[in-house]
Amino acid sequence: MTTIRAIPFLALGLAASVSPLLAADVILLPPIEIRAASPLVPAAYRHTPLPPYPAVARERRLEGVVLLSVLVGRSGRVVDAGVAASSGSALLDEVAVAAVRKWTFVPARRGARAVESVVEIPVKFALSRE
Amino acid sequence: MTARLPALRLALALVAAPAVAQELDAPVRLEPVVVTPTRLEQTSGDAPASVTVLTRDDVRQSAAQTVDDLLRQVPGFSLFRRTSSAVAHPTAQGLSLRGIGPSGTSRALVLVDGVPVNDPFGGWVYWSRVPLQAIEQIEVVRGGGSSVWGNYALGGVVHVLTRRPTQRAALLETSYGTRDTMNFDLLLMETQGPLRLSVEGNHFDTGGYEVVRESRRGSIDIDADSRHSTFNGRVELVDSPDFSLFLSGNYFDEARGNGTPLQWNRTDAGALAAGGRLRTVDGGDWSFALFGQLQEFRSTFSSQALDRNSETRALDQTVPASSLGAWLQWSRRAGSHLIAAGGDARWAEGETDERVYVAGTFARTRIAGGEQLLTGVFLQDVFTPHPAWELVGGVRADWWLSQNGFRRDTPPPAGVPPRQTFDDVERTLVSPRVAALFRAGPATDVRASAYQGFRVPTINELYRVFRVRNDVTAANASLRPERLTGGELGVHQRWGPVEARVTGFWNDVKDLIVNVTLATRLADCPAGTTCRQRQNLDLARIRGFETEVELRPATAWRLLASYLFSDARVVEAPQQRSLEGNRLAQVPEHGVTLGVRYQNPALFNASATARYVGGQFEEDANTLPLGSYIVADLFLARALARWSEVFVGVENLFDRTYATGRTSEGVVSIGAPRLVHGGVRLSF
Repeated sequence: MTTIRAIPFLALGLAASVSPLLAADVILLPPIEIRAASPLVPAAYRHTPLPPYPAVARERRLEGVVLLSVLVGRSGRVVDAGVAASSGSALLDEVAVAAVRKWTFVPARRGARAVESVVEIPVKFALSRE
Repeated sequence: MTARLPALRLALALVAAPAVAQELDAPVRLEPVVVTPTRLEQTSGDAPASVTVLTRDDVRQSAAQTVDDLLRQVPGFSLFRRTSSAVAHPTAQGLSLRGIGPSGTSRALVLVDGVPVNDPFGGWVYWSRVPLQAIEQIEVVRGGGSSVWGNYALGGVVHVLTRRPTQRAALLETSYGTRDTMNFDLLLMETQGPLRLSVEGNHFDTGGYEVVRESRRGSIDIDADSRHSTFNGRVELVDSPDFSLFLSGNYFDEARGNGTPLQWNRTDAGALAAGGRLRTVDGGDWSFALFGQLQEFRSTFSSQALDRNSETRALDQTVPASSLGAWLQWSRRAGSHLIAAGGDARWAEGETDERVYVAGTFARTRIAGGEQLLTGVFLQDVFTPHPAWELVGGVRADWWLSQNGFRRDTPPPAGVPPRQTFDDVERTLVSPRVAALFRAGPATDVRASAYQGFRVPTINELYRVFRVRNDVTAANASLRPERLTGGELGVHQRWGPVEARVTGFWNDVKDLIVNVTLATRLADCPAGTTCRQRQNLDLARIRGFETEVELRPATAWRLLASYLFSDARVVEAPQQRSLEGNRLAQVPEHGVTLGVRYQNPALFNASATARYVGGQFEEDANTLPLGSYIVADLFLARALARWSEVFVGVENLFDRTYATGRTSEGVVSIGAPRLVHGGVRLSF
């Protein structure tokens, strides 16, 4: 539930930081040429320690995929993270969000400048890899 | 308006409408991250114990072709002898954990889906009864488990969980390798409404290898080969998550050559189990199981000339045995308490029908056997007074009855009466356990426990004589149960991608049953043989520590390292003072396993394991040393399509020759040479 309450703040924060740039571009050019004109190099993983598999989830044999939306700051740190699509288990969702908050990324770049960006990360909880 | 666009986009992305979000220049989707349990993670309730979990992944990523070879990477796991179950004599297939137990009988309980599979007659384990493909997970719980599980669990519990059908599927694994080794394993699963069915057939056959060191090999030495077939079937009725019933059956047939033309053994066994689980509205969780087994084991032994160019038949034995058992368990959460109670009973009967040969000619028949009944009840409370604390207290009481023990020799050898009946034995055994888990920090757990456990002598130990080459071990009908008192203290620490666990343990075993070398021969030991007898040692002490470290530097990589130090010694042996201070037979002091695994489904999966086993002694007197050795295994697999994968496994990559046994005449048995197998896995 905390993740959902965080959404307006996260959204506002991103809107404030990115809007001047986009506002100018969208008016002048069609969307495809936005990327061509100022290509965005997306954020990439830097340090991503995996969370432990929750003991209760192991016991109950819970598995699933959580899709996280993560706002990556200019420094590569996580500014905020939320659940975009639940795994079906609040416990797994919570564990994934908590883990991702500790991660660091290579920040996205537009030209030479590091920019904030949103990435989606599917986190799959599987009792065995198949 | 334009300023709201990104806000809208992000809000949509976050509120789970990715399809719409994508049209609006979706955020970049990164590579998926997969979280799987590490081997050190605990299941609740077991938390204060030292548990290593092998998942289906670990099974699929191993060069091992048998469950026991797979488990050898777990610190503290060992069989009586170093030989793989692929060619070893079944009576050497008893497992011990942390070096408790220097004989063919297990000092740990093995359960498959909750049903004990330790042999009812001798306590060893037919590892090949569980095909690898059927395994979902194996939990190795070290440290006293008798307070819940009773007999055998003094050293711990190995719990094998098999796969449950979730949809219609067919899985086939087949491989072929050096030494004419072939494996075929087909698992079919089906779900129909509330019914879940699975059937599996596995056939394994190997031409085997020489088991005697080359310098001592003679013309009678041939490869020790083996083959086995296993059929498993299971029907489960899952009416709801709260109610299920199952019925399962297993048929197993194996035949082994033991390295000379006159020595071989075979086993046929059939087992049935039924059970169920019910969760009641008040939160109670009931489960029960009934199980039974019928089997026949036959083995022949020979007496070999010193030059190993001739052998003569020495013993031909047939061992029919049967067992029945049942257990009932109940558990319920009541506030911060998780209370569990239960009871079980296991009855076993068996005899050994032997034809004894002297100098190759039939001399007499010897029939010996008996019956055993073990029943017990237990009560356990897992108390969580605070999220950081978990306290476990439990106690179990068992009643053991050993009855109708007999032996008939026709005609009897000198000094042995023709008919003997042995007194019934009755014992009550109490096994308490207290344990605590303290979560000292978000990354640190501290565990401590103290326990008592036991194992009663098997029908085999009480009445059956056995022979390895020219060393004879006589039975002893007056053996007492082994009692273990022990404790351990462990720390589990996580530093980012590194997870480590260290556990120190101390076990005192009273009346440990060992094979004692005798100065004067018993009537059962023919002239020219070395004579041993199973006896209770007053006190043995096994102290040591185990360390496990797992490192996941990136999602595709896992590194594992484990080390076990076990100082297993005889402390008091009034009947034979010379044994005091000696190391227990077949227990190495040091064991190290290093493993690295790379998993990249798009490219290939690979794993490499190296195992060091320290020096140990063949027998109680510590005069027959078995040197240390290192073996390395390699495994590679590559997916061809979603439904197919090819793989190659190499065991003993550097083809190291190592001793697995040594007789008093100096004949050294050796372990497996380099074995390579390759195959395919298909799933539909």
